[in-house]
Amino acid sequence: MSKTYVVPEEIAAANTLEAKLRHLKNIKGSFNVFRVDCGSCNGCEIEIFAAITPMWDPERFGFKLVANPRHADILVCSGPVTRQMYYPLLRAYEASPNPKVVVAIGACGSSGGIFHDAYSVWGGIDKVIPVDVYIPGCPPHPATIIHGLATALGILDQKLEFKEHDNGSSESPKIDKSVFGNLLFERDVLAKSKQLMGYLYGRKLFDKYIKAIKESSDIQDIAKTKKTIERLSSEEKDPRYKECMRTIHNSVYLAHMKQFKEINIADQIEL
Amino acid sequence: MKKGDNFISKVKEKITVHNIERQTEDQVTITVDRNDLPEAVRMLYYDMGGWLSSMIPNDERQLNGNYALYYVLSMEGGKMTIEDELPQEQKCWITVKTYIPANDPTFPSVTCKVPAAVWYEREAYDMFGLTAVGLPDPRRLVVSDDWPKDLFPLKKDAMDYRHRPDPVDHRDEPDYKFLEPNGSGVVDVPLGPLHITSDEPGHFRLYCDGDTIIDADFRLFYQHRGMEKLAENRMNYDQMGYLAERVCGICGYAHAIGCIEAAEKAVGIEVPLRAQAMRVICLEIERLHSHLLNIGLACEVTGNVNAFMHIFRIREFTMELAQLVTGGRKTYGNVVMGGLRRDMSGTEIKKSLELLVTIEKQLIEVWDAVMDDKAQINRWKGVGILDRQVARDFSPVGPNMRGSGFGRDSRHDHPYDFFNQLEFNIAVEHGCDVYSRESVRYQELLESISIIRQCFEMMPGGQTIIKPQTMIKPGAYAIGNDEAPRGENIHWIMHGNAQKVYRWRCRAATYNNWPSLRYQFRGNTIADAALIVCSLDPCYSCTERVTIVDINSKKSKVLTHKDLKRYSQTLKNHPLKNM
Amino acid sequence: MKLLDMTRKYGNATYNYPFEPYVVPEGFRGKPAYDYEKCIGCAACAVACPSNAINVKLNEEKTKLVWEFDCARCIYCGRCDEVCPTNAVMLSDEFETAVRFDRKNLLERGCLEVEYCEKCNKPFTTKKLIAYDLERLKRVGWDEATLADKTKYIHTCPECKKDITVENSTQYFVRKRK
Repeated sequence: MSKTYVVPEEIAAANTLEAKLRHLKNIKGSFNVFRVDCGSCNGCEIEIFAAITPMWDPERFGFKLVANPRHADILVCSGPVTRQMYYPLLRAYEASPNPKVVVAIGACGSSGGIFHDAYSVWGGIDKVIPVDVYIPGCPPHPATIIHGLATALGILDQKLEFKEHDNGSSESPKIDKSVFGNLLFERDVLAKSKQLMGYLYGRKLFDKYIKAIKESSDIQDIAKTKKTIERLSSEEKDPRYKECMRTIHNSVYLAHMKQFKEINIADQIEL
Repeated sequence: MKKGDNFISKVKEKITVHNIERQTEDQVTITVDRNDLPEAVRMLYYDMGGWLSSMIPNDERQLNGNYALYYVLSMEGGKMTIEDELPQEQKCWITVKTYIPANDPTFPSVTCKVPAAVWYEREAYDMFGLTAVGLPDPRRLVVSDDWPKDLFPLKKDAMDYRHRPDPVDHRDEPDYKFLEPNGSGVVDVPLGPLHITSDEPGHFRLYCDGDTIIDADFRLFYQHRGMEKLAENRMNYDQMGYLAERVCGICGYAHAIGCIEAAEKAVGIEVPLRAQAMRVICLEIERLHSHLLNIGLACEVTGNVNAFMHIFRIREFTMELAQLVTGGRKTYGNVVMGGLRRDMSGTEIKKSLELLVTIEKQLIEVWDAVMDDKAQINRWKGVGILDRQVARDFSPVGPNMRGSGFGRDSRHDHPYDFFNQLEFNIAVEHGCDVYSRESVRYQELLESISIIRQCFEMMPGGQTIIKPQTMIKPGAYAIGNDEAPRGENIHWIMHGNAQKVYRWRCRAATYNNWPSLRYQFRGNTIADAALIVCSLDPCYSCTERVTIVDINSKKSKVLTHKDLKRYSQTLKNHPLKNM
Repeated sequence: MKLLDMTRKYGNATYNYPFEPYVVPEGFRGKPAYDYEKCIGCAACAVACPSNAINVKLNEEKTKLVWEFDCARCIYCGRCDEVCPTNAVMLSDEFETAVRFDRKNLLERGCLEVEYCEKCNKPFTTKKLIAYDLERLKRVGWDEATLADKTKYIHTCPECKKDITVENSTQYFVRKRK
């Protein structure tokens, strides 16, 4: 570990938790914020900017940006603290009046984010100065920022708390029954769905397709299954799902059935 | 005859070319002797209409015992006049490569012949210890002021990527040496690094006589985060896209695409059409919100807060659009090699088209209202002139360039992804001032909306990602280019072993725009300084993965302290007059 | 003046958050939600995570495998969601993630029983992962004999597996030479 800043005693003495809580109570309703960008990618800055515009308007709670750390009640710091910004950050920190409330914003500010172990950063605001409020996010949504600032002031409640799970069962999680009695079919359907629609919608597509194929009276019967899928995919409101369900049927289902039966061109569903 | 061969045969007439390698259909690399380097780059740049797009120093000692330099030139014609542009089928990338022996890490500076190379060559010293002989100003610029003198981070054997030398006590912060004149009547106005006008840290020194800026100096790279080293060590290809996306918070997606496309091009992967179209959509959404941000800020720094608020209100719709199709407002996180990992459903496309109508309608309305305001236009017109010759010398990119009458647009010059199949115009204005640049941005907004619409309407079906069976070829390299909101981004990737990059060089648009800023400052008032910086739409974090400071004028003369002082006092014999 | 007209035309545009909930669209990438019951401790998420927000490590006594998520470092890319074989990690629409005074509140942990190698007795994975693998293997159409053989194999750690393979192939070549 490299040697970084040690908070001087007089600053530490003036920044006890009681002093900060009293301070936060006093400024509730009107507070001045100074922003320190400690080498962030600008994403957090832009979301703070978006948060102070008419759509989100934190001035409803008395939020005001100031141009000088000496006027600041709250320091909002973003970025993983680059080597070059280390000194300006400390200048701003020492210049702001006691008690100082420091808000670390974004993944980088809270912990260094994706840059946490790079050579040119210190890995988060709390590696350099004490931090009171963490607003994670990459970048945080304006609503997250508003929630964070309101949490800092004690207007809103904090939602997250430390969770530790232990002593669960060591049994296997439930596995759905395979439609063919062979999980390799489901595996292939899932892989194809993800190729077609990515991980998020691919999963939904997988569910839709498996649900549809279960409706078939006899899934070993190619013609009957074709009809069922054709009908159910046509009922799909979203054209993209319709197209993809049919593609899966043509590629995965028919490839699977090829092991047992002859496949004709006519077995394919038109896209 | 393949693309670029005509230029190479012209170079061959004067210079020995050792080796010609072709990476893709329109990317060729020629190897020349170290001493022929400046002349080869100059010929391609000035004689054949090239622009310096990037320069990559690389530590190839593990591969062939040498360091290597790659000067990437975008061959598209000088564009000073209409006839000056190359026909579309001749446009290509030519990379001039040279080896530098490990025991003699020096090379002749190209900056003396092509001023655009100035930052690249400074960076080569900072990161690799390669000295450009003839390049003035030996100050280190990219790494922080407290960085050890003989440690060059990107050398493969220099240090662990997590190595953090101790900082000095913060009260003894090392000073950066500015060119500081102290004549009577000359005021030195320091701005930053923390300032309220522009978001990101950067320290400017404006040297003023009365209200007029005579010259400027700046220290940037407050945001050097060491990403290139990080990527070479910790990241695999699946993770790199997300790191690249965090090069910059505003045009991050363009970086992610540039980076991944460079990696794809190096091994010749074809991306499914659907993924191409969606990449274009996301890129254009990014342009929408970025340009709106910039126009908004240009109003705000001139005091037109009302317009700023309206523009930001409209900008929220574009953020909603992004949130709808990617799940995130700012980081889209959907790029992987071989395609995209998230599709757009039919419902999303329908909702997006509705949002686009709202955006377009309100955008036209607000621009109309801003243009109605004579005071606003007067603040923009004639301010921050980017001279056409300065522009030709320094290779700026993006709206900064298109505002000075150069039709440089990566989407048109080196079309990537879906752009071959779309119809769009390049917005060009000829005023060279802030007004022209903002006007270019407004026209591009409308173009972007039309591009997104075309993509949605022509949206191809099929897969969004190819089968994951990519073969990485160690040592293969290629350029990935795209047009970010601020201009052309260039990523250069050389593949390494074990799913890791050997070298990743990311050149952000703003990197090419900074060096000419100094010329844009001169002769304007202090009140306009923030506006001029703003009209460049600078993206500090983009640039500052690595480093800078500008000192050079056109022919790379260093302004001495004395020269400037004398000039500041007498305002006679401008030190740059005889250049 | 036109700007002022616009202001009047569009009126109040502000979202009423936090007085009313803010509704995010479907597919929003919020904080990853962890389902301890489903997690088998395969560590695919930890390998995929670009920012190392998820770590999977043995505890100090080497009795439990600890899955740990640090919300502060998460970049909401959804790679964990993408690679999770049991859907134990999925992005939620949770965006109210701020905490004050205690950083520990950003952490989430899940401890899983470890499995020891039959040969060398070293911990190498979780009991749950083995159970899950066996359960799936039972459903791919293998006969009893193959399954019994694989069951034995699956209870050995990768290093012992390597040794076994080397041993087997040496024996094979010795036999072949004879």
